[in-house]
Amino acid sequence: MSDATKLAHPELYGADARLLGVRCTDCGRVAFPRQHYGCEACGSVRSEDVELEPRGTLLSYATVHLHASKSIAPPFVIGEIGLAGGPTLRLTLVESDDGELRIGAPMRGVLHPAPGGESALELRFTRESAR
Amino acid sequence: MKPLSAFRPAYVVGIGLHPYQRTSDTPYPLLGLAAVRAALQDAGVEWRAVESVYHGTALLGMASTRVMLRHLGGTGISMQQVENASASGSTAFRLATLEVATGVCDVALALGVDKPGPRLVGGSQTGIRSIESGRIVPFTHFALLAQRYLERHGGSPEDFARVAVKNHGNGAKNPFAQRQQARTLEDVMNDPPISGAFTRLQCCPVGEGAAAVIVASEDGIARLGVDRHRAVRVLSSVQQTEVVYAESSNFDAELTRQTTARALAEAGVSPSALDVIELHDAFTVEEIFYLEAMGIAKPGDAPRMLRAGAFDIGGDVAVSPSGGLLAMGHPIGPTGVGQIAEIARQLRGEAGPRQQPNARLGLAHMVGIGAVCVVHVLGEP
Repeated sequence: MSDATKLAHPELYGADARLLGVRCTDCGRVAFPRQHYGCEACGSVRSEDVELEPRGTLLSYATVHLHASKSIAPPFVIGEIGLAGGPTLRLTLVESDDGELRIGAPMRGVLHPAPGGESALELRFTRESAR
Repeated sequence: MKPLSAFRPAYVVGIGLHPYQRTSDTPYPLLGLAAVRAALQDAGVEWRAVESVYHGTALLGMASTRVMLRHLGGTGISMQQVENASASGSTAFRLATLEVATGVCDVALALGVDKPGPRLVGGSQTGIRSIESGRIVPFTHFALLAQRYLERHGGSPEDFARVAVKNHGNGAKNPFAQRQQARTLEDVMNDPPISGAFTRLQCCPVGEGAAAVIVASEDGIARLGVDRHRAVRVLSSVQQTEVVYAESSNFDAELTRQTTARALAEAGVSPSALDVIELHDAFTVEEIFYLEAMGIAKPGDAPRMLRAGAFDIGGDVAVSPSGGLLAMGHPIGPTGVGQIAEIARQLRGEAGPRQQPNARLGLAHMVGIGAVCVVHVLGEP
């Protein structure tokens, strides 16, 4: 993998934008992010790694205007995504304002340049209809 | 699990506060000592009569309790520092109450003292990385829930802003509040945007302060000659933690629903019987969520009731008559103890310009990240 495609968090997602999750082999709960400490629902330590399609539905969003950390400059938009594969996740959206966002809209994950000038890519979600 | 009512009665017999305020150069012992001395004076008891201390603090750091309280005179009593995030003070009060109710001691002090400072939060140290990269702080967590509320129930951001108008109005009458200025709906809506629907005045200030409450048994009250007519009974005390709820549910509200239902049932009190509620309104929309979760309002109906004045002082139930976290402030450790002080003041009929008429039953509610929830129900003397 060249520097241009370095992933900001390779423990969370792959170069194909699929999410690295885990499935409890006792109760079936699918969770993200991946961990092998024990199932949050039933406590079982028996699990299998799964990859989750980066597709889901927009459940909510918020434009952040104030952010103490220098890691990203506001404003930016956070979305809450209900993944087709089960878990809900909250992460930064590609959209820089919430004008086109509608709760219930289909969303997809894409790799996007991470802020901060590093040549790394981070996973964000965007409207399925956005090009 | 036994309810508090399985044990002997415990009463709040003394309350004291140091005003909540912006972070200053005042060393924290001066904040705490002012609150404890005020509580001792209010109860009419001497420091040597106190047998045990629970000190709620999230930000002061290790071993901060005795080096503060030694200035009251060393008596050698048990002192326990308590950390439970925003609910630290609520848990300190619960432990003091349980120690008195179970008969381990007759007089205990619940104290909250804090000053803002950089502290690690456990969730960031688990070794499990989060995808949001630290970009979702509490105001954005609640902004996401607020947007979902509007999608489900309709309404507008003004519905949330009216919570700030009410609570700042209450805080303007509270000499211990960090924010003591009444605000109009325009003031709140035109304030700088923070996240989602929230402006600055819809987010609580985190400053410094202290709150103290003395808890006593009937034996303690009799032995010390405490005024029974100012002793507020603790009717129930419940603490719960989050479980795995349905995906994308409002876990703060679900946890509140379950914890409050248990606390009310153990006290034998129905939601509609409450006269005063102090709840975790760190962000305006939380008051809406929790009043609906507690059964005070039907789902989606809290904004209408708020507009109609149901939650004002003088309304059906006074919600956050102290000003709440939004106006009184949220110095973390003191907050939950300060709620008990406000409810005791209300149930004694000593709240002056903030007095809810004929207040007989009160409820205190805090949530803390992690997530925990603590609810207490108190009854008139």
